[in-house]
Order: sequence, then C-alpha cells, then structure tokens
Amino acid sequence: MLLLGRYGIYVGLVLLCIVGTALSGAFLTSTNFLNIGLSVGYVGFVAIGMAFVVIGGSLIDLSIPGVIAGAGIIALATEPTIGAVPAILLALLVGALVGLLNGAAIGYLKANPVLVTYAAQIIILGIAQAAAGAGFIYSRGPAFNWLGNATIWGVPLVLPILAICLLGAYVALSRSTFGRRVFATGGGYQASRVAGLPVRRIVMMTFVISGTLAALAGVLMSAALGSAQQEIGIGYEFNAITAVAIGGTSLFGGEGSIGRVLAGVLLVGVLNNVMILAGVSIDSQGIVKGAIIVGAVALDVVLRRVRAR
Amino acid sequence: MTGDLESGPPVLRMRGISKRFVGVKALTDVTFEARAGEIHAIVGENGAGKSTLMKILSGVHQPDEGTIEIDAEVVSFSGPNQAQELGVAMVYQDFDLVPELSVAENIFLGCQPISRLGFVRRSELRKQAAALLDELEAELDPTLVVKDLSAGQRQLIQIAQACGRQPRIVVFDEPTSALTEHEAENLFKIIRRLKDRGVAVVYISHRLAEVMAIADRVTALRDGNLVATRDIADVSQDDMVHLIVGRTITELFPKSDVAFGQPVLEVAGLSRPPVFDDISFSVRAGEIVGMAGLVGAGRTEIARAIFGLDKRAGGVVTVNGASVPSGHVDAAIRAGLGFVPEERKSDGLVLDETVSQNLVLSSLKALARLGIIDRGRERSFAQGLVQRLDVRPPELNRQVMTLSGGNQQKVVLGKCLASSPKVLILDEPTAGIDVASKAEIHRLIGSLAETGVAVLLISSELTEIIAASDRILVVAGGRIVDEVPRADATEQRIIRAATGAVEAATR
Amino acid sequence: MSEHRLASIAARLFAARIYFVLVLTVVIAGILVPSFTQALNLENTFVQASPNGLMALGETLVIFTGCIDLSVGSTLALSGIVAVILQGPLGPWPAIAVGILSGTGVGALNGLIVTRLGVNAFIATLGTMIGISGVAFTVSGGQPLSPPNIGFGLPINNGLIWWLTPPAVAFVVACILLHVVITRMRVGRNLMSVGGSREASRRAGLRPNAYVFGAFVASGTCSGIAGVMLALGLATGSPIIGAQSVLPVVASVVLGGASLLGGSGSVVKTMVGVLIIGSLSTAMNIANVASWDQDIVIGAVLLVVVLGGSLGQGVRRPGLRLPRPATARGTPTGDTAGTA
Repeated sequence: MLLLGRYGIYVGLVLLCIVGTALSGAFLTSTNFLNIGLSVGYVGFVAIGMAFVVIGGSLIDLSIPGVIAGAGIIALATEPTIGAVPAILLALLVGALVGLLNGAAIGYLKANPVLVTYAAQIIILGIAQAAAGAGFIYSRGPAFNWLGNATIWGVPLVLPILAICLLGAYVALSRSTFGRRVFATGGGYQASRVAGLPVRRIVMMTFVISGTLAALAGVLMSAALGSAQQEIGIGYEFNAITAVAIGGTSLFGGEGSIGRVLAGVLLVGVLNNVMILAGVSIDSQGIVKGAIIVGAVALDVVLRRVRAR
Repeated sequence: MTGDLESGPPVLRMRGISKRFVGVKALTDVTFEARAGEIHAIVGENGAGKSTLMKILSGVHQPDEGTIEIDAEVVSFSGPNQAQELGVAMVYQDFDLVPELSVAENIFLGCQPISRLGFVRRSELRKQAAALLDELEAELDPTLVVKDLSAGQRQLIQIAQACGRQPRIVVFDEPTSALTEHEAENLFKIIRRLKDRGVAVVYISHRLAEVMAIADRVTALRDGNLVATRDIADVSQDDMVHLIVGRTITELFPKSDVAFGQPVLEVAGLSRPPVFDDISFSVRAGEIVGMAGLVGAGRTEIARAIFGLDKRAGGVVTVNGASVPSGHVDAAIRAGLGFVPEERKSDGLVLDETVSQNLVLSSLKALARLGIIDRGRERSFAQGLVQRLDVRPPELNRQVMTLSGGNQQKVVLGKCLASSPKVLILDEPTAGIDVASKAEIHRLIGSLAETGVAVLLISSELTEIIAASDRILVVAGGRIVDEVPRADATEQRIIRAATGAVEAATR
Repeated sequence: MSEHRLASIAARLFAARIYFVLVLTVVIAGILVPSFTQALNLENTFVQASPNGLMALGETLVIFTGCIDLSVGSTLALSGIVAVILQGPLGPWPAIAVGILSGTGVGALNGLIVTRLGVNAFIATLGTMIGISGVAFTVSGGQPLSPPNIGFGLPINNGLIWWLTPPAVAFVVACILLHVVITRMRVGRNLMSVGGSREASRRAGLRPNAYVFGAFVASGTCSGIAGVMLALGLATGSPIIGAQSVLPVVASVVLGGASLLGGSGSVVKTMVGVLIIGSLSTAMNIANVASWDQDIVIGAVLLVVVLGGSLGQGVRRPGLRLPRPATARGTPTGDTAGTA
C-alpha cells in the first residue's frame, strides 16, 4: 500500500501512456509529445511555485491569474519604451513584489492565505485591466516575437526554460537549506520556531517564488500569444493545485518533491491528450478530471491512516 | 483521608483483560475492580496500560480477552455511547469542550432540553446547568462562553457533563495536571462528595502525594501487567514508586557530584506582566537548577522568554556575559542556549520528518556549503548524535512519528545538543515517557552537567525535581518565592512555597 | 468605568464591526454616488445580491462545520440548466423541483465524498466543482439554453412581497430560517459544536459526519434554488454562470466573521457580508465604474476587513492549516484548552 502511494503516480503515468498508445497510433509521435509539452509548459511554472507554497504550509496562492496577466501586460507594454530585457525583468520584479506583499500579510500578519491571495487576485486583475484599457495589447516587439516563436532543436523555448526552472527548483527544494526549512515550516511550524528557523520569512519567501514564477509564465505566454490579455491566466491556480495534489504532494504541508510536481503536471497533460485522442468530449473531460482529483486525495488520506498505525 | 471501611460491593469488575495492538501487548491479564463509594487510584508510568484499560472501560476499545462486569452483570460495550448509558463517565485530562458555546450548552452537549419542535428550551437549559453546578458547589455562571474560562473552570464543566448522566462509575484521568492548588482542593471536595453518594471513583494520577491523600485503594500497573492492588493505609509513597518502577528513586535519578564553575546563565529583572515579574537568578556551569511550582505559575513562560520564543517586556539575559536579545530564537541558540520544550510533538519535532532531518534542524547552515546541504556530513553528524543518545531503533531515515515517546525526546535533546549549548533549559522533559527512557534522560542530563553545561530543569513531578536538582527555585504567581538548596529540599517545603503566594494573592 | 467593563464593551463593538462596515459602505457609496441611496437602487441591490446570498447562506453552514464547499458555482449552473431543459416535458413546477433536487444531489455527493471517503473538503469540492461543471457543459451541449416559456410563465421578476422578488424572498426566508435553526434549535447547536470541537461532540455522543453531510446537502440545495431562480429570471440556463461565484461567496461568509476553522459565526452576519459586496457592486455599476476598477475596490475592501480582523485577534495559528487526519497517537486538539 505504501509503495502504491510513493510510486503510484509514476505507475499511473506509464499506464496512461500505454492506454494512449493503444488508443491511437498518433500518441507516440514527437508531434504529440510536443503538444503535451506545450499545453503543460506554462502550468509547470505555476505548479512549481504552488508547490513551494503548499509544502510551506500555506495551502494555496490564488493570486496567480492576476500575476500572469499583469506580468504579460507589463512586459509587452513597457517593451517599446525600455527594451525587451528590462521589460521582462520589470515584469518578474512585479511578480516578486506581489508575492512579497502576499507573503508579508500571510507570514507576518498571520492573515488567511485563501482570502489574502484571492483579494490580491481581484485587485491585480483590476489594475491590469484598467492599465490595459480593458482590451488587448496587440503590439509585440521583435524581441518578444522571437521569444514567442523561437525553438531549440524544434522544441519551443518554453520547454527548455521550464526544464531549467525545474532543475533549479529541485536543487532549491531538495538539496538546499532553504528547501529543508520550507519542509520543516510546513510540517511543524511551532517546532521550526523552537529550532530557531525564521518561519515568517520562510513563508513569505514561498510566496515570492510563486509570484515570480507566475510572472515568468505570464511573460512567456504573452510572448507566444503575441498579445497581453487579462484572461490568459484564468484557471491556472486550480490547474496548478490539481497537478500538485495529483502528484502526491500533501496539501497539509511538509511533504512533496519537484519530481512529484512534474509527474502531476505531466499526468494532467497526458490525461488531457489521451482524452482528446480518444474523442472524449471536453465536458466529459471535466468530469474525469474531477474524479481523479478526488481519488488522488482519498488515496493520500488512506495512506496517512495506514502509516499511522 | 484514607480508606473508608464502609465502601460497598464492587460496582465494576474487569477480569483478565488483555489487549494487543499492532506489535505491542498493551495489557496482559489485568484484573481491576472498583467498589461503590470508594476512590480507587491507578498508578503507573506511561505505557503501563492505564489509558488502554480506561479506553476499554469507556467503550473506545474492545478487549481481546477478559470480561467486564457492572453490578455483577457481564456487559460488553459496542461503543462509547453504550458505556455512557450503562453508567460509566470519563473526565479526561484534555478538556475537549466547544469553545464558542456556553457553559450550559457544553454540559448538555447533544442532549439539550428541547420543546417538541426541536427548539432548545434556553431557560430550562440554564436552570438545569445551574443546578448541576450548584451540586458540585462550583460558582460558575452557566451563560459564560467556554473559551474565556480557566482550566479549572473547564474541568468543572467536564465533571458536570459527566455527572449529568447520573453515573455509577466516574473515571478521572490526570485531573490535577492543569489546576492550581485551590482548584485541586475544590476537585477533591467534589470527588469526596461523589464517593459519599456511592459512586465508584477511579482516579488515575502520576502525583503520588495526591494519591496518598485522596484514594482508598491503589492499583499499580507496569508494562501492561497488574503489579499489585493495595489499601492506601498499607503503602507509602516510596512503596508505590517501587511498585510502579521496579527500582528505587536513586536508581531512577542518578546524581553525581559535580564541581560548579562560574555562573553561565544570568537572568536579571526578567518581566512580562502580568505573567511573570522580577525574575532574577543564575545558573553555574555544571549546576542543575530546578524550577518548581504549580501548573500555571509561569515557569514555561519564563523559559520561553529566556529562549526568545516570546518577547519579554523587561530584563536582561546573559550567557557568559554576552547579552541575549529578546524575541530571536536563532540569536539565543547562537549565544549558547538550548531548549527542550514541553510539548514534544508540536513544539519539539516535525513529526513527518525523519530522525536525521529533525536532529539537524537547528544546524543546517553548519552542514551546508553555498546553501546546499552536504548529505555526507549530515549523515555522519546525525549518526554521531544517534549513537551518543542511544536512539532506538538507530535508523536515521525513520520517521520520528514512529518512535516511542522516550526516543522522540532523545531526538529533541539531540537537536539541542547539536549546537553545543552552554545552557540547557528542559521543560517537563520526562512527561509522558516510559520508565527506562526517563532514567536514560536523567543520566544524559547528569553527564551534560559533568561536562560543564548549566542546566535549568522545569518539572511538576516533585520526586524528580528533588532528586535531580542541586538547587530548586520555586515559582508562584509569576515570581520566584523561594530558593531551596538540595539539602533542604522536601515536598512540603516546595508545596508550601508554591501555594503560599497563591493564597496571599487570592486574599 | 472599570477597565473590565471598558474591555468587554470594546470586545462587543469589535465583534459587531461588520454592521459598522455595512453602514459605512452605504454612507460612503451614497456620498460618492448620490443616486445610490434612492429606494429603487437600494432595492435593486438587495435583489441582485440574492442568488449569491442564497449560496452564501448554504456555504455558511458548511463552513460552520469546519469544511468548505467550492462547488457552489457549478451547482448553480447545473440546476438552472436542468430546470430549463425539463420545463418543456414536465411543466414549470416539476422542472423547478427537479432543478433544485439536482442541487441537493450534488450536495449529497459532496457529503459522501467528505464523510465516507475521508477526502478533505477543499479537494473534494474542488473535484466536484470541475466535475459538475463538466456535467453542466455536457447536458447543455456547451450552449446557453432558453426555456420554451420565458420565465416558465411565472412572474419571477415581479415583486412578491413589497418589492422583494421571489429570489429575494427566498434569500430573506432562508436567512431567517437558518438563523433560527442555528441559534435556537438543538440540531443547529449541535452543528456548531461539531465545527467547534469534533472530539467534544464525539465524546458527547454526536455523530459529526451526519452533520457535515447535512451541511453539504443544505449548501447544494441552496445553490440549486439560487440556480433555478437565476435561470428563470434571466430566461437562460447557462453552463458558465456561477463559474466565478465561489470566491465571492466564501468571501461574503468570511467577511461576516465566520471562522474558516468552523464553530463560530453568524448567519445574519453572512447576509451583511453579502450586502456589503452587493452594495459596492451596485453603487459602482450606477456610477459606471469600469468592471476592473470595481474589482480593485472589492478586493481592497476584502483585504482591509481580513487584515483588520486578523490584527484584531492578535497572533493566532498561522494561515489556514488543514486539520490533519487523526493518527493512532490521537487527534491533535485544535483549540486552546488548558494552560501550562
């Protein structure tokens, strides 16, 4: 039973791939994998950030859609004036700043994360819309044009960037002192305090990471789309938390790994892909996804009970 | 008050009870009986089986073997509700009450008097609650909200809740652990009144002096077995210790002669009104200073303020002359302070993590290069601590959740020792721990003192603190009211000092 | 006046702060948007807030037990679609009934997942939110549907009592009903107990799971009623309606002072929270404030109230900790009990 918990996600992933191959000859093609990669690429960034927040014990960061949209708008809007690289950096900075504010309220003022990040989301989206004049920003400078279309060995730039982020996140989470502290803070807040950990700052930093990565996703998405709209981020927070939960990271905090996040993101992506290949209607897809989320957590609960005996 | 020869026939008889959990035999062939109008105490260390026995009595668990008889009729409980219906009432030590509800509502939780349509009859509720509280001679306004009440008041509510169902048997599980002396006296009055009414009272406690004072008979359990059942008149406290532990006090708390050095920890004028005020003392290298007092006297708060977990309003803390800033735990640790907190599971350990991860939690920076943890160094570091403290089983990758209480406490201690503290503060270090581990921990404390560490030991177990300390500070009402050298340390002196100030304050 | 009396008065005022916020909101809105305080506009505010208000009431019950229901928006959509589809074959009243029952069904599903499978409520209702939305899309074919008879031939948009339209009446009635049940009836008091301390309730012989199940059923039913009424009023059953409702609904409940940990709060105050958000929306609509600026304002108000609340309560347990499942070593007690 315990083995199932630890490796179930990977087994599930393999099983899904087998089903996919059986269903359609098109599954094992590189084009198909590319499709999967693209559809999960942006979620991947957000899921990494969400994982830090969840493992650190703060449950969720709901401000993601706002940050994604806002970052895209800021990057595209300021690029003509200050150039591409500064524009990107500015967008990332804003994302980090939002994370800082969220994290300060949640870490230091002990405010409820669900409500604070939700409030942040509405405010940021509102500001983004107001700034963008409730429309799109169509212009896309040459730099962003390149960014949105560039490929390395036929793979869009998004994926290698994501791979780098995954690697960095893995090192940060599983190998560094910071990562160890995030686990401890989420798994035992009081005990971490007694051990001398700067718990409030750690909580705040998880939100800074989440905000920055969301901003990165927003910049890349807007570059690829060629425009910045305020809807581009909608739903990403729930996609991310789904991927995190399905991958086996406990929503109670204190447990998880980047590998699991990746597995969860891939599972959702492959699942979507398989359902499309199998001709499942979009609506039924929602039903299946919903059932899977519930199943994943039921498994988590059962495993906890088994372990505790 | 000692045994009353007029207690009646056994209301309760548990015969040959055995219970096994996964991998552990919790109870082996235990026989226990309680008579009407008697106060029968159960003593034993943690893990001895007291709580398992009571869980069986209250219907939470089913015995693997053995029978339960109430009024000479064999019964079996399908669940706690049935046990309640058959007249068994439990007063637990963790007061689980609904904080937002009133006293009256908590007393009648689930069985509020209602009209035919299901509406709660509020005035009736209040009246019945007041009546019950009056019977217990508790001056408690039934309309007060529970979350604002003290521990003693909450316990009264629990007792009223238990008595509201007219039980035949009432079990008190460590009832005085969170009470002031005054509240404990009230509790004893209530218990004696129950006894007069013919209720069979089962009294579980670690506090042997209390047991001597209130019980008629005492049963000792050890490692799941029944050791003996005796009349109180026939045993002394030391006898009881021997029954429970199987060894003498000096075997339990070995004390060696240590030469004291310079004062290492100096506390001057520490205050945080209204919790504590004007706390000044020092601890020398190699010295073990005990801090005694009633629960609620402020000892834990003082310790937490010294260690920086809580901010202090005034006062100075120095370690070897260097001042320790207020409110910063990592600064305190760097200055050489170590703290073993009272709540091991929530404040001492990250339960989901491994032994190794918990041991190195305070020392992460030292084990890392450029922010990345050196796993090899971490492993050997943790291995060293595990061996030094004899953590069992000695597996670094084992979740601490699976360790016994005693071994968990060793991990907590190890985490502190990892920073080579010059001062070690321990808050109830052996609470809830089996006998063998208790002795081991005291041996460790002793050897630490030998190496020159200054030790501050907070404990509510008078036997322990008297046996282990070179000097005892008695705290009452947030102030140090007495300083007792080892030679003069007796239970009476400590209790008198601990309660004298309380009475003076309440006058 | 003694310090104690001052302190208790201050505490009472602090507990009632939401009413002040409502008054303040209406006053400020009235100053900034003069026509807001006209009777018609105030009435409209109430009426328009009613569907969200109904959902918020049901959500309040779930939150009282210490859980949360994220599926309210999807249930809203589904029940509207069901009612619209069935109006032709079954006639108006049976269609309405089945629509509401579909909401009840979703609530029961949620209740079962949480109590039987032991899945945490956040995840369970996240799953049903996505799943039921899928069902709504499937059943409606992805398109908004119109009923054969606009409004089912019922005067849904006319005032039923005074100026209160049927949805508004339902809101008020539900509010009164639930408030009475929660504060005066044994069932309601037991429900609060379950949220306040599961262990105490269990020891007293209550079955916490039964109350959690009941709360979810109530929430689903409320969303069902709201969904049917909305579909009637708009003459459309649409699968995307309510997709964004979840968080405003939860926000109203928390604004009203209910603790997300369960066991405390007031149904009436939730209604006040709904009205605050509703007033802001209506006032800003009248003033032609752009929808994004509206979001900024509402978000800011929410933030201020939340931060004000957490500051006023001092240091509590950090953030929102999901209660950990019970382990063999005993359930960690969440509330302060006893001292040390």
